[in-house]
Amino acid sequence: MPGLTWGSPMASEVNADFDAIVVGSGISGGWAAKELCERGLKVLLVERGRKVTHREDYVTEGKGNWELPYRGQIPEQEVERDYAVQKDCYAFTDFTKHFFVNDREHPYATPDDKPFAWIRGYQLGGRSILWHRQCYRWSDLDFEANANDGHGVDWPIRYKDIAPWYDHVETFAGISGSFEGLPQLPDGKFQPPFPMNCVEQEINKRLESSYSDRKLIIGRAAHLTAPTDEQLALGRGRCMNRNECQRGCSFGAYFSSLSATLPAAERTGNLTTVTDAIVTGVNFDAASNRATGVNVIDANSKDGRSYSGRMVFLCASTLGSTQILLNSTSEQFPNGLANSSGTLGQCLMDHLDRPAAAGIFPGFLDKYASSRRASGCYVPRFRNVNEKDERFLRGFGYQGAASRQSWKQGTATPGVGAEMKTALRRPGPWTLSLTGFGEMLPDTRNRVWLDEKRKDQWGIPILQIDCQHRENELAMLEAIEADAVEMMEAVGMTNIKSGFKAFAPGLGIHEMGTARMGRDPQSSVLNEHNQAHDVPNLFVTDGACMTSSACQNPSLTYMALTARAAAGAVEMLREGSI
Amino acid sequence: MRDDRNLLTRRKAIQGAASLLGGAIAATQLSTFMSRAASAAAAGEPPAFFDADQFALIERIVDVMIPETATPGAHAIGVHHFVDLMLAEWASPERQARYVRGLEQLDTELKRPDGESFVDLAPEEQLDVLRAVDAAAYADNAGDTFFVELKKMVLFSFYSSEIGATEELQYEALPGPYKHCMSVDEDVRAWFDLGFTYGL
Repeated sequence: MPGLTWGSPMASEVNADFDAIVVGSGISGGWAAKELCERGLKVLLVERGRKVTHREDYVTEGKGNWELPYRGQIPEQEVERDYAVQKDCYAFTDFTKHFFVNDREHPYATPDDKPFAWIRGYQLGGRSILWHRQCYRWSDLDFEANANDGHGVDWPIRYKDIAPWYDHVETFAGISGSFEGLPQLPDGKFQPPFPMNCVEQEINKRLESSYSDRKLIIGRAAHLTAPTDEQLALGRGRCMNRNECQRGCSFGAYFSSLSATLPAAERTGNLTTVTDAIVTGVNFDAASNRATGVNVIDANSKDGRSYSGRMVFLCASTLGSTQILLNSTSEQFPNGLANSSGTLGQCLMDHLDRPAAAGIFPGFLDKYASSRRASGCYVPRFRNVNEKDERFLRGFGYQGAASRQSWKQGTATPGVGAEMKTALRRPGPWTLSLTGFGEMLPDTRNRVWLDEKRKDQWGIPILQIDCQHRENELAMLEAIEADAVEMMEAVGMTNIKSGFKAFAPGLGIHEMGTARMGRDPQSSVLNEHNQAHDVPNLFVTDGACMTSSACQNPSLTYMALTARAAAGAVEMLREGSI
Repeated sequence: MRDDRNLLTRRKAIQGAASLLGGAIAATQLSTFMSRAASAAAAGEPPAFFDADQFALIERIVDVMIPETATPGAHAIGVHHFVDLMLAEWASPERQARYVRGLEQLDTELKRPDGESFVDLAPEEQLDVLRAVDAAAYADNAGDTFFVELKKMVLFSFYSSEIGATEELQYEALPGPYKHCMSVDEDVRAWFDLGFTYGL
């Protein structure tokens, strides 16, 4: 059985249950478990939710709408009673609801006039089962943004520090995408891209002739289009383009903890997994200035127990990890573990998620494409890239796809009888919709803290979330809409509709920040290794660590940061510095 | 029984493909499926939510809205029973009340000027009357009408049924490699694709 190969004592010899404890099994936790196990550490993975078994528990996979009692709709009273927040997630249906939390059982609080949608999946695999799989590298435009405009603190890393780790995680996870040579959206280790359909190709051609800085490219997505031997050995296979990924995928074609990182961790023989175990806090020993392990409470029996470990990786999601730190108080850290800076909980960010515009692309009525594709397209950021925009700082990208309308157009247009039925039997015109994803500034006023009175059923103080879109975001939202409309007009689209409502923060499901990385221990929680400034054997590698939000989907960056931090932590263990 | 065979073939395809990878598809997916609405229609069961008059009106509306043509219509596949089931089991009390009120009002709107009820009109007349109400519901100043809510429900009930999705339209269980630019002629059928959510 593999062990630490450099003479470092094993956990049992230093009177700890495990070499490392990883809290959370989503995208970040899965990566932490894999990387630590593969480097020989005995790892305990603690998951607060139920066990989900790959394939076996994908109970709605492959079903047609007609095979569900309400064709995918969830009874309205159940939705209002149990899913008052989760219901606003685009992927929440009767096919997927078992992978979402019951809001009644997992309360949090917000000011009445500032809703924040906290979309969660508490189970083995976390939200890696539910994610939208878009994977974009960040660039130095993003890592230098705070330093350049003074919002937030400077990132302690630059692109060159993370680039080899992007290579590493992309190669293992399997990211399909096209090579574009864009400095603001670096290319990666791609599997072949999904094709763009003929209308998307035509739209890109027209965009490129109208603008020097805008194009429509295929989305970069964590789907196997040409599986490697390593991926095949893990039981993963090629994507079938069902685009029903959030139900689970027995092909293992999209990356999730269940399809990829956890099987890789398990095959080392070094992984122990416990589920239904809610971490209430990290234990801290002031004499050695070290985290010593975690306290957990059984989600079902509500019995408490502890695990000891030589290091702790918090990967419990942005707000989950911060909640655990805030709830880990001691004489030395009365305001939360590793919070000597007082910044823990501050600078919560999400992406500005706004359906920007939609319209009809005339022509091409003798062309059609497959019914579904597992990724849409992407318009990479063009604002504040080459020229400074006077209206707002930072930038945004768009996601969207072109397809031909189907039966749903019948509900939006007049018509009944055989005439309507005959018309709806044929594909309608081509349409394109674009959804903007904009960067939110790190702002100390957007923050979370523990409620002093209200506790959940496990006795954990609930989280108070106070977060809103502010001046820069509101200015950017206007541009997101206006630019989309202008581009649609430029490529010759008609019937362009806009004026859709922006979503409340949270619904981007890209919550980031609250335990940020930084150079200065007085203004940040984590250093350049995702290591707590205050507690050397404590690491936070999920979205909580993010110092700014960029406008690219963040999961790929969590993967790279986590793998990088795990490698660094093992090296520190080997050197004896933690 | 052709439908059952299609289902079986489709499941076999998924299972076979998954088992190539060393896995088995969830056992629940192999259970036999029988639409409750279809069996209720076949057995002529009484409605669970609507009263007899309301149900008679719904039954006529779905038949006129999506009639039998060269392909089965909404009535033949029991859409009126499925709408009844949705109202009985899926809908909130607020929506149930809205339907009761809405149907009462719609019944009035659908009357011929001489007061003859919609359900008693000849089929061609029913189509004319329904077309007029439909056109009014989509007028610029119409606002949110119950008729459009009901139409959304009827279209959803028809096209998300097995026959609606796989025979009236086309459905790919396993699309496979994305075909990005197929040349098609005028009689190509549209894909059934619900997307993630559908607001009823």
